[in-house]
Formats: sequence, C-alpha cells, structure tokens
Amino acid sequence: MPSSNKIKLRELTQMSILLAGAIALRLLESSLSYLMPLPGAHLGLANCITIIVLYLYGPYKTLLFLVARVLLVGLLFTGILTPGFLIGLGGASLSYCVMAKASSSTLLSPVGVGLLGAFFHNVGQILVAIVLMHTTALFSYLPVLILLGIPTGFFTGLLAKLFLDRLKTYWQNK
Amino acid sequence: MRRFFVSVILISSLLITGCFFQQKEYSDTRFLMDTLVKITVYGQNQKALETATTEAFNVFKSVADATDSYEEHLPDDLYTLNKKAGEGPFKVNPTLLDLLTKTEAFHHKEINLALGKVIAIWQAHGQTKTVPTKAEIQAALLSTKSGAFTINETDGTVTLAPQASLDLGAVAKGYGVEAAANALKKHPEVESALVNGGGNIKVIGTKKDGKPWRIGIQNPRDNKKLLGTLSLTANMAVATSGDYQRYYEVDGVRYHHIIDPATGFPARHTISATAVTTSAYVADYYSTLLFILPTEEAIKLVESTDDLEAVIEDAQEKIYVSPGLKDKFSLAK
Amino acid sequence: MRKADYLIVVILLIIAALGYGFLMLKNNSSHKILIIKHDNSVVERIALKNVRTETKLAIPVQDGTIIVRYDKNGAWVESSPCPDKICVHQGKITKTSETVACVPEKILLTIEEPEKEAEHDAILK
Repeated sequence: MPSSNKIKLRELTQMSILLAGAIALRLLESSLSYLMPLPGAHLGLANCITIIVLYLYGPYKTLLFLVARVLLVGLLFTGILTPGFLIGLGGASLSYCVMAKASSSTLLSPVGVGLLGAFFHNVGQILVAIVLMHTTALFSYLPVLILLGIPTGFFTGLLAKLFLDRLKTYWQNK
Repeated sequence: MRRFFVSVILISSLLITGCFFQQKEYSDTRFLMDTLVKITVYGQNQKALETATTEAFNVFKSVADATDSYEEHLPDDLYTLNKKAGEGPFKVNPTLLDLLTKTEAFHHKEINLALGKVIAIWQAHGQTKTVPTKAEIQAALLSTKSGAFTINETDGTVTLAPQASLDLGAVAKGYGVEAAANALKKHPEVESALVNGGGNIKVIGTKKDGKPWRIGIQNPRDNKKLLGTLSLTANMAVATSGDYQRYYEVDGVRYHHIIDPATGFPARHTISATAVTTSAYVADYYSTLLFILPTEEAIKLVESTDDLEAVIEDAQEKIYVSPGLKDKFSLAK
Repeated sequence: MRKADYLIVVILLIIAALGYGFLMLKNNSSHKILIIKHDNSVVERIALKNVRTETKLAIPVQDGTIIVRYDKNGAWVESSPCPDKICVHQGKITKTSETVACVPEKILLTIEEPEKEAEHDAILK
C-alpha cells in the first residue's frame, strides 16, 4: 500500500504500463459499442486496472492516472468534450469517488470495490446522459446497466484481486 | 453460502448476455403499386435487416414496374404490351410472363385478366361520379372474351387481340408481396418478417416469443371496427377483397372496383372475402375470386381446395368461416 | 472474497429488480403520439393523451385540403380531395404503427408509442 504522495520514477513507469493496458481494454470495449444504448457507454472493463492502481498507489495517484486515461481515451476514441466523452467522464468520476473511499475499507475486498465501481460508473453515465438530453426517459436504461454491472464489476474486481494477490506473493518471495 | 452466491453471479451474467442477444426489429414503408407497402423484419443484425428490406422493396418495385398498366417503366412491361394490341406476338418481361402464365393455369372464368377496357370505363365514370350505360359496358366486354390474349411460354411472348387490354389488379399485389417475401427469405439473418402490401400480407417465420401473428380484418361496414382477427403461424399469406376499399356512390348505390367479368359491373354477392393460403399471390387470386363468386359456390370451392381457407361476408352480412380456420379466427365482439 | 462483497451483490440485484419493477409499472400508461407526414417530412406531432375533445386539422395538399380528425384514442381522415378516397375508407387508427395514407396527396398518418406491444401485427383493409 502507498507510502508517500510523491511519485517515484519506478511508480511512474509501472503506472504507464498499466495505463497502456487500460487503453487496450478500452479499445476492446469500443468494438462492442454498437451493443450499448448510449454513445460512449461502455462495460467498464478498464476499471480492473483502476482498482489495481488504487490498491497499489493510493487515491491521489489514481486520480492522476484517471485524468491521463480519460484524456487519452478522449483523444483516441470519443473525442474531447463530445457527448460520448462527457458520459464516460461522468461515469469515471462518480465511480472513482466511491472506489477511492471503498478501497481503504477493510470490510471489502477488491471484488466489492469492483462491484461498487461498476454500479456507480453506470449511474454516473446515465446521469450525464440525462442532463445532456434533457429527458428523464433515460432512467429506463438503468436496470439493464445495473444488471450488466454486476458480472462486469465482479469480474473486474476479481481480476484485480488475483493480480494483487499474485503481486503480493511475488514481492514476499523476493 | 459461497456456492449460492457464486451461482447467483453466474446466472445473472448469463441473463445479461441474453440482453445482448435481443431480437431487433426494423421496418420501412414505401408507396409502391399505388398502395402502401410495409415490410417489418426481425433478426440480430440491424444492418443486415436493413439490407434485406431494401432488396425486398426493390424486388417489389420491379414487379410493380412490369405490371403497371397506367405508366410505362420498361420496354417490355404491361403498359407497352397493351399498346401493342393487335400487332402480333410481343416478347414480355419474364416477371409479367410468369404472372400471366400462373394465373391462366387456374382456369376460373370469374378471373379475367383482359378486363382492361372495362376497368378504364369504370375509372372514367368514377371521376365524374356517373354510372356507365349497359351499352358502353357491352361494347367493352367484347374485348374481354376468350382468346383476347394468348401466351407462348416457349418464346416468352404474349399476343393481344386488337382492342384487348390487360389489367392485373386482381393478382399483381399478391405476386409482388410473394416476390418480396422470397427475397427476404434468401437472407438467413432475417429470422421472421411481415410483408404488408395494401391488403395482401405474407408472414415469414414465427414471432420471437413463438406467438402467432395477429392479423385483423377490417369490418366492411364500419371502418373503425374489425370483422375479426386471424392468428397465423409461419409462412402463411392472407388477402382481402372488399367493396369498401375503392368505390364511389351514385344515388345511394355503391360502385366498387371488383368487376364481375360476366356482367362488366361490380360483383354484388359479397362485401368482404378473405383468403388464407401459403402463397401471397394465390391468396390475392382467391380473395378476388371468392368475392366475385356467389357465396354457395365460393364456399364449395374453399372446401374442395387444398391449402385454402377463407372468411367471407356476403351482401346480407352473413359471415362464413371455413372449417380450417376454426381455431385460427375469432370474430370481433 | 469477504462477507461484505456478497452483500454488495445482493443489494445491487435488489436495486436492479426494483428498477425493473418500477419500469414495468410505468410502461402501462399510454403515450400515443400522432405523426402526420406530408411527402415524407413530418408536419404534425400531437401527443394524443393531452387531447380532450375531438379536434379537426386541415392540411393543405396539392389538390386542396385534407381534413384529419383526432381524439385521445386515435385519428382518421375525414375528407380528402383525392379521387379515390381510399384514405377516408381506411378508418381510424388507434394503435402504434397503424397507418392511414393518402397516396396521391402524399400524406401519411401514423401513431407512435414507446415500447408498447400493439395488439395486432397488421390490419387487412
């Protein structure tokens, strides 16, 4: 778990690799974007990486990570300040706030964090979409997205947990 | 406890994937053959559905162009054929040839494709809201007698007697609907579909929930109500002919568009005839035939013909439902 | 996996179920919208549920004026300058995706409604 808030070079390198991974996951998701009801809505698989970064480096560095990720994804896929970008941003912000708090709790494992992250990611996306389109009819997408968020949140959290456990054993064995 | 929760999560994941494989619906409506044609298709791939529908409309349009007696579209279409009456064999469009050949094979004198001149008289009088004289009609009927046209299948030609004129209104729509439906069938991504061409309907496949297609028949005397509802399963076609679709009234008498070839005047035995069979073309043919025939003969024909069911309401507003439709048709309340 | 993780799953499932239930209830209200198109462009969009009395609508077309009437249940063509008056004979449309069309005047009436399953797949007219 994090020691100080200064970014070390080694951490920077590690986070850059993880960032590349997150963007690769996002690329994978955008090939499925025609299945989603909203532009810029996505499954949130990249959240897995965000959870890992949260547990490894702490909330502050994760925030920097997320800003970088959101901007890069905007440049590469959705465009900056387009509706798709804003929807993704809304989802990411809300889920970050909740996950940041949740990761420091001892009650939840990364799986629970993943579940909460996915849920609030979807809620955030819908809220932004509703504001953008001036219609509360979009709330009807919520149940489907929540239901969707359960397995994706579970799997991203599980993947993050497995990754972190492996890492811990690796470090312990060094 | 853990196993329970894991299975809950697994099941919800499976349910979610179900959400992704929802059947999609696509529909489009176009004005063709002087009527509204609506095609609705169901499948997984939205783009493929759109492509299939566009193709089906193109097929329908090519049938419409070949069989239009009011305007020229192709050098070998019906309009051109009619102009060449009395000029010997004329090589016609294959679609037109097929339609003429198929219809002639039925041999029912109540369906006469050579009624062109008679229909033209009724249309002219329809504009002025007058009734043609018996003499006018008799004169026109001369051009409709047997031998008005002959088909040579081998050469692909049709010979029209001088003064003869063909009108395919009795069968063209059904033929077009059937052709469009066949075009849709060629696309495996179309899981089910409904083609509705102005009163001629063909359904392909079953609806996604396995329920039958519910087709309503308009009440011939009250257009705000239904006569009844048909429940159709896969690959069936329905067509209705009625005296309430195109008509004009003079002195309280209704002159509608379905002409009895024997008299040259609108048929009077029936007010609504609906035929149910496999092919939309055959349904169109029979709906017109059953409308023109006296009711007892129509009933006999239905009961002695395979793959034909019908709902007929006669001029006295009595309703006949063929036995095969017993559990497929329900009268409106 | 800790106990609290399982709790989250259950809570989320309950929220999703409640959301669905709420949506099912909401969809029972009829939000019919009458759309009138002239030559493929929409000229009128009327929310039928707000209509209290029968209303008359006059639409100028090529050969004169088409009179459309509607009430909270549906709409129909009362009169039209077209020669065959097929549109008038087609009667009243009350359900989603039902249509009345006047081909010569290029007028199309149709009803749209979100997600409600129409009783009939088609009507033979």
